[in-house]
Amino acid sequence: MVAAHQYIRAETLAAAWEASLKLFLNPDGLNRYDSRGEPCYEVEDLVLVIKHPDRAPRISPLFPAQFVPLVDAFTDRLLAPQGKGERSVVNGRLFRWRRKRGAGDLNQLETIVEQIRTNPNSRATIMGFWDPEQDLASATPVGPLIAYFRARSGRLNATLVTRSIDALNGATAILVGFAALQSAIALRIGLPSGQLTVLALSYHVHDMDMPRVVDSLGRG
Amino acid sequence: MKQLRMLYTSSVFVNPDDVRRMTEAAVFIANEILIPASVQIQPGLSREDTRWVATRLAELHELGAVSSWDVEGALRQKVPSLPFGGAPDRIIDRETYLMMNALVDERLMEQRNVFLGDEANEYDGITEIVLGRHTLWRFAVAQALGANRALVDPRAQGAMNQFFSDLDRYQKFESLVLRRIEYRLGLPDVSQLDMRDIEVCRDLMPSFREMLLDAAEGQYDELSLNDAVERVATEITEAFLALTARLEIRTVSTRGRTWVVPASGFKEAAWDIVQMLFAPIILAKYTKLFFDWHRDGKRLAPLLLLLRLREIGSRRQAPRLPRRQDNG
Repeated sequence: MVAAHQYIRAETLAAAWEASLKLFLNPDGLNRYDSRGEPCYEVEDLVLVIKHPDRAPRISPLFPAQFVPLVDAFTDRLLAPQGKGERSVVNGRLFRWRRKRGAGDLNQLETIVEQIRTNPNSRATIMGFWDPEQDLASATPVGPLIAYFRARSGRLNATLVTRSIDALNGATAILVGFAALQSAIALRIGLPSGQLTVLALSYHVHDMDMPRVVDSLGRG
Repeated sequence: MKQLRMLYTSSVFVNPDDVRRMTEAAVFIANEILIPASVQIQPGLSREDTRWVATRLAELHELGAVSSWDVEGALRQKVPSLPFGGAPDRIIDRETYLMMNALVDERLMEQRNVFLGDEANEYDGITEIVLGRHTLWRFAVAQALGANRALVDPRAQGAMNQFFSDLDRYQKFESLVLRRIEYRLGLPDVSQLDMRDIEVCRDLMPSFREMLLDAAEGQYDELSLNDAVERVATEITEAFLALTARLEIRTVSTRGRTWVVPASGFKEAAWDIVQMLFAPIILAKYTKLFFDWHRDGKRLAPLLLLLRLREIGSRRQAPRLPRRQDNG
């Protein structure tokens, strides 16, 4: 069962993010834990349901303005099919997942677009990002684990499961980036974007940012 | 003499290893160690370890070796935190906090490529930036609290590894030198000393620290770190051994106890020093007077901490936790 404080439903990405920050105003119900040795407050298994991920505002006015270029850069790297020389892990796994026995790279995006076109009711149109061979031993394993896109009720709905998100500094990039991916796929198959659901296994704010969360919400 | 204040960059929980590191720093190098007021004793420890961590932290706090800090108005859980509780000893006010945060973000964006790392492995740009913020934040807090070294929790060291500065010099260099000196001279595990001994050692610490920092000055070299550690540790160890040889101090065992005594024919200086080693109260009160007065004082002072620790080690069979490995 999902506890009330772990479930957020909002109209837009910006509203969902702002609501998620409010969870940290009462730290007593939250986990204390270390994210790479940095103390933080954590909500486990947070579910964000965004009804209209393609509508403005995507980025909240409370989000630090100087980090907006990082959000744009993350989205660009996620969507553009980069060449071999590029170093984005998530992009690499989306467009060039290494197959065994020299079978060539798998373009997950193209494969899934094609599958949704041919079988809109499919329950297997899932992109995988987590590679246990690499991530179990990595100091910076990928955040996004899987993304599931499907056509339902004339819309393209999406679900993202992500391992760990820094609520203040990282969540906006993830939300905006994957909403953009959802829109891009929706455009390819000729459907409008539907709702985006994000399950964050660890949604946290570092101690150093806690007063800033209060300050940001105070300004909002 | 220069004050050395260390910022303890911790995880949420402190355990016996963390407290051992703090005690070692308090004995050898730090006037004051600043720990976040939000840290808690690690859950799941044995009752004995929990009690030891709580007692030792409270004792170090009472000595002034450990202080707590927090940001003004920070939201905190209503759970039992540090054993010495109460209000934090130092507060970063809200205005300063917001200024620090803005500065960290500004520097981060200015030096984005440094944090993403030209030679870095693959990246997606979020984790790396978050790690960069943590690193810059430590520098900002250290500056705000006037700390000149960081005592880094090994669990949090990853983010600092690519940046070397005076702030993280202790973990990367000086603590390794100390570890080697402790091993070579067979010094006792300082985390197990009682408060009176720690207090006496801290009175002797500033001149030892000055010698250590002088010897270490300009020696750090990432590429030949082991050589540099060895060089500095050897310099200090040899100076100590030369001192004990000159003072003709030896240890004798009788009726199951071991004593440090001057050998026959000891010199006057040796007598003064040995007297002081056996009179901790006098030592604590009159150390400075002694060194100012004694003709060899200035030369001998830095090594008295090691001599004192040697004597403590031979005088008492301190209960010991498993000894750390010497990495050299």
